[in-house]
Amino acid sequence: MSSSIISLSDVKVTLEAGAGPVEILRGVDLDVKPGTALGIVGPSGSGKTTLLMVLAGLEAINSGTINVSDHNLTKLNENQLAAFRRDHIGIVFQSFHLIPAMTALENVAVPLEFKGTPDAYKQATQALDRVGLSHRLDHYPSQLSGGEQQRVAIARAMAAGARIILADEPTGNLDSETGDKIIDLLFDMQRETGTTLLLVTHDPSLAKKCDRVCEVRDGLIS
Amino acid sequence: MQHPSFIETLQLGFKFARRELRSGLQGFWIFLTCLILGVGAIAIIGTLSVSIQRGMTEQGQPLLGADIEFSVIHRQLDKEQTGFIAKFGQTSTVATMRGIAIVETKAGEQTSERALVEVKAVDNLYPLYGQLTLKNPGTFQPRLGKEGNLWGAFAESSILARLKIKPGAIVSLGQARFIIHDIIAREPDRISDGLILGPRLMISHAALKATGLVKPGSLVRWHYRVKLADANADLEKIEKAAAQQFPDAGWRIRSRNAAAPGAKRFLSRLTLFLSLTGLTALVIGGAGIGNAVRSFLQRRKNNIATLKCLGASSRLILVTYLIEIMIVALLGIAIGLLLGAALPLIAMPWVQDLLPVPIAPAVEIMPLLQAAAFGFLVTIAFSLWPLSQAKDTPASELFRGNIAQKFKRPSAAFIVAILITIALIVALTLLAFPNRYITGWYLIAITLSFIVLIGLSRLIMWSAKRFSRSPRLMPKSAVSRLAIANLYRPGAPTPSIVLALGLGLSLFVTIALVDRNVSKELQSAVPAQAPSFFFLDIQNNQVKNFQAFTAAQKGVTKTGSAPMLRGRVQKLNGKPLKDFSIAPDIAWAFRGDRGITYSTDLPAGSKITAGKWWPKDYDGPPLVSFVDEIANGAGLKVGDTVTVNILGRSVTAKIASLRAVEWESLRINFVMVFSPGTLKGAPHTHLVTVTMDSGHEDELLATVSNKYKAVTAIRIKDALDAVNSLLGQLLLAIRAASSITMITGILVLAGALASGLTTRTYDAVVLKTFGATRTQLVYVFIYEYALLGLITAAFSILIGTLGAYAIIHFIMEMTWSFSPVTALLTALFAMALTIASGLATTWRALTAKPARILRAE
Repeated sequence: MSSSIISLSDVKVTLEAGAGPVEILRGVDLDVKPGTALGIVGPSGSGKTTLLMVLAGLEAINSGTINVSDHNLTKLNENQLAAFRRDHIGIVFQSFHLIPAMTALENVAVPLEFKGTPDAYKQATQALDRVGLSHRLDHYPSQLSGGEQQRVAIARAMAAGARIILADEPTGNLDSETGDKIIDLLFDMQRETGTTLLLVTHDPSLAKKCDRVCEVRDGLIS
Repeated sequence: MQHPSFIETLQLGFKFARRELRSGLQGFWIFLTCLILGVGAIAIIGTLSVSIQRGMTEQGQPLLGADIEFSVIHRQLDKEQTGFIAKFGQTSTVATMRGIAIVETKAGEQTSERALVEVKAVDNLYPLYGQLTLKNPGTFQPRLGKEGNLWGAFAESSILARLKIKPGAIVSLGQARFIIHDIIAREPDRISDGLILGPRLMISHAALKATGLVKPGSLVRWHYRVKLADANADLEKIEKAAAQQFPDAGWRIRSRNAAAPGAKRFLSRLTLFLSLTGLTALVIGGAGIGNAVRSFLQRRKNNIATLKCLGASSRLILVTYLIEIMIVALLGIAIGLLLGAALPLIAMPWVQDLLPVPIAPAVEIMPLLQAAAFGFLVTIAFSLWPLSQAKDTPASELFRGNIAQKFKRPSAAFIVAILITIALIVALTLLAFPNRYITGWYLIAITLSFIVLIGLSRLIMWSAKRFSRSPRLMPKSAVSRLAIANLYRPGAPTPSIVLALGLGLSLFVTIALVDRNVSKELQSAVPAQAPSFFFLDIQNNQVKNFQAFTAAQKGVTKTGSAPMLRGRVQKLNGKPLKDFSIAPDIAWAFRGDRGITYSTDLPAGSKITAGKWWPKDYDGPPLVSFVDEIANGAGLKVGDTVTVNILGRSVTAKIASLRAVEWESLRINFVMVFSPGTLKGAPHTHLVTVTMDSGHEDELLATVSNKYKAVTAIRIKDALDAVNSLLGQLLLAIRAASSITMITGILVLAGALASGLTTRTYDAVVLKTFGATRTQLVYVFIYEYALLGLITAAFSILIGTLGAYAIIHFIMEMTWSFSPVTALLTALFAMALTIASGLATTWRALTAKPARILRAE
């Protein structure tokens, strides 16, 4: 068993664009120990988000190997990747990505439901309670503020007991005060549960809060 | 602050609408297709209907074979009467009757091949108008003459197939022998003879005489046809003069203006049903139009919000988008009208072959205008609600999340506008279609279906919500939970799917059940005790022997007989028929010549419901017993009088009793049964029924027709086959029209799902990101669509069953029976259809690459 919870070796990703293929990741190597909070920084278009997508099995790679929680992601099919995410990964996006037609409670319960958790709604309620939204269970995303929506997204990422949290600029759409609160919440929960956190950010001060920081530039980690 | 005037708002609206439309018709395809199909269907059916009606009017002379025709049954007109007719122009006489044609060998031996034929005897002037088309053209009259001991004849091709013979074959009819010289390709005046049970055999008058079939009381109709010397002579004046000079002639007078009233009535009823089916397609399409407008405005919400923020008034928003929608509607209606005008012209040669009536192909303006008006009104009725929401929703709300807007009641002005539009649709429907009774019930049925289905969709959403929020009822599996939750989520397509699928299926079930009931009725109308044969034209002195002879044949279990005369009702309570308003469903009993009888005893299968049956030895003034439903429809009661013209003599009888009759038993029964005294002395024939085991029928027909050459046999099975085939054509046409309705339903369903595709794709991607597998999502969709399909099917079966029951029970007056197999098949079909359309439309959502969508947001 590898001592790293995440291990990437020579990962390359090329995407087709209108003007031709674009190399997004050009041979990324990365190892992350369990329980680490890793900050990923870099300029826009450097490949940070693609790196998170690759780690979540949402983006296919062209070459290299990816091992996450002892799973070789290149060997998993679409359904196995979905099951892998359900059991191991929680994701927090900059634009929240809540399902608009579901209430806060239903949004948080989704991964639990697919996991077959018998008391999915009870656990989802507890998760929302932990992020301070027990009074907003039946609200739809459009009825919540940006900060509240991001708290729902955090509750959803944590609710199913994921060991790895991938956060893609979670404060990018929030004002600084709300953003600070969200970051505090994210780190508090990470510490409480001992999960591994990969935090993509533009903000150096935010990155400093992480145990380790790496920079992505031109598709490579420096 | 100055507000722009209405004209300025309109100008601005046009400008913005034009700008928006520059980006193309994306998102309007379902809208356009629904409108094209609905408007096209109404325009096509309307154009065909008007073309047929015009054709029948313009072609009145060849259809009737005359400008005016006087016809009588049983007997020929006397000299005074023929003299009166001859005054108006050239006269031609035609005689029609039924007979049994038997194939003979060249040596003159009869074979076992025989069939019922509709005999038409014509003179040298036939036809006065139009042309008789034979397979081998040439002068035809000489070929009907006698050569050696054989008379010439022409026959329809079906008789040749039936008797397995070719032109040149010899057949006997009564005592005469005929050689079939040619095949009749088209008989111009065939339709004016009404429903004919057998194929045509055309002979000369001399040959008819030689058959020996024309005897006193025989069922021969003599037609005296006139080609007016003065083409512009007033036909009504001639009719009036005839009635005045010969009040008791008992003739039926028909003019070129109403050459084939029966066919006209039949076609008018058929086109009414077809038009209503087309209108249903447009109404279902309306749901699709409403959906398309809603999702179009949803997609434009950022534009609307931006325009509002920049100072656009609510009125400008309304005008802009209404103009835009109406421009697209104009395009759809124009294409629909183009189809409506062009398709009938293109399809005319094929349709003409299917129909026994002439069609005058032309671009008919009225049906096109009607179709266009329906198209515009339906578009407005279904667009106003979503437009009111776009107009009245504040910009701030429009900018907020992607969630579908909450249900909002339109303002009072919009509700009034919607109600006025609906009232205009109702008024136009009642004006455009001829039968107010059926059209009125149709409107009530479709309104109730709408209300029930909208109520059902709300009930489904409410129940699904309760179901998934209740810890006790909530299903254990996440897949089922999500499927149920998808039914009630904001923006769920449940109402559109339930409405479109529900209306389409309800019509489908109605037609399927009516179809099954009618077919079943016709098949089961031959119960075990029903006769296999009706033998007509049995002379008074033959009847006893004939009955004894048939009773002794193999397989015969029962025989029955009744005297048979033909008579037409002239007066009720001493007043002419035209003074009475007779219910349309029983008017047939008072139209033309009807079979009548006399009897000492109450006929079997009848029950007295009012009055008394006359005593066995009754010998007083004429009495008559009427079928109760017919008497009730004409407002007649016991004690009233009815005057009937029988063989040119008027007989007035007092109604002694009313009877309830089981027509389905097919036993001998008549609308009017007279007391024996008066009619016994009149020349008449008898009708004999023979009930027998199947298997010996051909044998009996051969034996009877050998011995009694002048007797006509009608096999019940053949008669029912003839009716069945006519009904089959009618149902085929209705099924074809209803398939347009079903296609529209599927389109609306697909449109409803497609309008939510972006949302569904997004949801699927997020669900996959958080652990849902594609297989799980496929199951979620299948469960959701199957549930919707099944529940909608259940209600559609209920609505369709009620509709079919109303048609069968109230309009067709047949025995109703429910078909669980049809219901089950409909439910399965609906479920399969919803799942297939659902998955086909939303498959893209399941296969979308998550990373691309997540990045784009």
